Amino acid sequence: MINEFRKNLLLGNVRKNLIIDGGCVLGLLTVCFAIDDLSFSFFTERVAKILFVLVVLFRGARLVSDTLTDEFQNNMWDFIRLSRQSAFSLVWSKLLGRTITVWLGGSIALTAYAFAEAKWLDPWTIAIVITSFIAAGVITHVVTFLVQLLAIYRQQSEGYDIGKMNRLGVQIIGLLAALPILSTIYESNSLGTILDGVIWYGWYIDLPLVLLCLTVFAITWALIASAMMMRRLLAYVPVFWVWPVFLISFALVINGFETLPYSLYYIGTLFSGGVSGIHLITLGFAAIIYVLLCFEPLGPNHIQALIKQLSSRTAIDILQHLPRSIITLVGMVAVIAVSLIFTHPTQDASVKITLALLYIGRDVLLVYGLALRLCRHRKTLASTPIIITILLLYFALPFGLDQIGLNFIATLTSPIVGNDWMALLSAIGQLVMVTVFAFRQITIMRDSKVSHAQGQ
Amino acid sequence: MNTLLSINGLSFSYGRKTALNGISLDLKEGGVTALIGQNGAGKTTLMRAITGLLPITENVVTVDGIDVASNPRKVHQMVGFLPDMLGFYPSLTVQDNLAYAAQINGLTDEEARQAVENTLLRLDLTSKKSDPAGSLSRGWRQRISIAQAIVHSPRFLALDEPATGLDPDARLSLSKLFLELNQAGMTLLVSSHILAELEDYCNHIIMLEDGELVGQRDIKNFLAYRKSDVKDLRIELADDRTSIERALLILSQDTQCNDIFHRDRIITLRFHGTDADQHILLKNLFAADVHVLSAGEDHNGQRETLRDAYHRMNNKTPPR
Repeated sequence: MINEFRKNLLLGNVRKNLIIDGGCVLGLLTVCFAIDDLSFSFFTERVAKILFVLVVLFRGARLVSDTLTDEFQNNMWDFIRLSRQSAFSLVWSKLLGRTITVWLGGSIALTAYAFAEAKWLDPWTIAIVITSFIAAGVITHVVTFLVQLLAIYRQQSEGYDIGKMNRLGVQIIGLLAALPILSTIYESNSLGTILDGVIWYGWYIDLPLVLLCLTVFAITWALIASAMMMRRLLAYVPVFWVWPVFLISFALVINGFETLPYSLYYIGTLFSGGVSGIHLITLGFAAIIYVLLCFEPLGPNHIQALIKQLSSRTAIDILQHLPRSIITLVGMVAVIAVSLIFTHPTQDASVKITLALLYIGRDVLLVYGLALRLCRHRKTLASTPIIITILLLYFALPFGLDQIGLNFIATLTSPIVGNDWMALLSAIGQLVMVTVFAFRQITIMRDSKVSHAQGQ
Repeated sequence: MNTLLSINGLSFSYGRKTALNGISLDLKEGGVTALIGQNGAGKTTLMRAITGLLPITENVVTVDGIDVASNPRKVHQMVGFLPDMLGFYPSLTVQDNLAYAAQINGLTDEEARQAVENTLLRLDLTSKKSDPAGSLSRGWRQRISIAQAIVHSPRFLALDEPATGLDPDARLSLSKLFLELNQAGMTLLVSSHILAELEDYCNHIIMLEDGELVGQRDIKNFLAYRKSDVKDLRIELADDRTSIERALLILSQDTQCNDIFHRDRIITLRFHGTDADQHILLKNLFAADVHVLSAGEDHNGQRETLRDAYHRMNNKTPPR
């Protein structure tokens, strides 16, 4: 019988791709072997790495995006949505079913690489490099898949038929996700020359191993996120505990960094007194919140459903319907509160962190208010107004004020610049104003629904 | 019969365009309902909302008591849907397409094998089962799409323009298939522009216009028997080619005359007018020197068709 995995194998034209992905790689490496005087040497090693990146990353990302775009081109997406398939089986079937031949080609390339490097590197280093390559391939595929699912989810939230998707954009994002780990591999011919490292919960760990572990962490959660996103697209009930567990694991990982790599020293200079776990958690959670604000579908229906859940349902129902940006903000407040109690940071650090919380709260409420005000004829707020608002608030406005000599005003509008009680007061004032704006929009929404119902 | 589908104030818009506005209706289980309306009336949007493919608000659409918005997965297990755009994998064979459809809709290997065989027979696809779906003509592809929608025997089946692209013989087979499926217990909702075939198997009709429900009733009450201002006329002419040509010209120019059919010296037509109008028509024929031997009501084919009723409800003159 034809299940999803077998269908993807058939659609992927395995026989033809075996020749392209497996045959070509094997052929080219055989030529290199001949050029290297019938041995695996420098030339073979270089070509093998390049072929792996070309076949597994570039071609693989393209094939992964094909698994979803094909469903729309063949008008089968709605059919799949109505089916009884589980989200997880759909995810792994699509990821593996279409890319099986590129992994075959990649395996050939990595085998040639291993033989070539065996003369120069110890087995442990070779294992790390090979695992890093594989991790780079996997994260490219999984992130490409996840971003494509996110794009579908946003369009579906509007009720539109899925039109053309920017496949190239999605594939570029997937490739960018592999950049950190790839840059480590390509920084030098041998991992032994990389001296950079970090201290994590008291252990010194070499940078390549750190990046590999972080990449594996990212892959795990990207896979889980893909399955959760697929569940949403298939209209399964959301699994409410996954996001809080992700935030906790993210905080635990980030909190362990007592030092940063030399290449990231700039981030450390942002914090007087040096970087600490609480700083990194603040930065990390803030980044997650702003990404969610830009890309999580949010509109009047979502806010109305949220208000209804808050007023009448159980905690689990509330968690299932709470936007992730709100959950992350609450989590951020909780983690920071605990850290402030137990770690006793400096006054300067405390002010900075409090400012960050206030401004993030302001921005979240501002976006929710805009979602109600601007969504008269849309179901969800587009990402563009949010991105423009954030760029204005944090870059254009402080820069412009600084240019015209009004830097003191910039300290009242941005936690990056401001650092004193005036900035705190200003932040509280802005938060109050935006809260009033957001609740006003909710009242307008409720009144318009009442008058519409009465009109009927 | 129980109510299988209940809609209460369904509205939906695409941006500024309102596709559905306050639709409320009930469908009984076991019926075959025709959904008719002009292009852009909201038929496809209604079907997609019913099957849970659109983001609608809660407690507006229920299927067998289950709210589509809050429990779409449970609803999906009960429904099959044929969209207006053909959906299949061109590079897979017909049999593989159906096997996949059966598998992902929860049938076991053995059940799927049996269901695929039965469905191939029902849709007359057995001879094409090993052909790549993409290599077949439009009509065969339509059959594949229909087959995919019914292979798992859903309780409620929504079909959006199922007869598009089918030849008359295939459309007749399809009508028989729908009757068969209904007799086997399936509830059907069918939208189509081919009104003549709908009345062969539908027992209930819903009419949409500009996103609003303008009519919903049993089909027997929808069609009018022998309305006083609609009658079938039979005109016998002398065996004179010129007379016949003149008569046909006059009748075709008269807006009260439709469905004009001519064989040898006999002209039959559907006349929308009173007796006085009929008298004027005959006077015009005589004035044009048409040799009329006899003229009167044709007592064969008295019933108003669904097509006529549709146009009558739209206050339009039926096209010739």
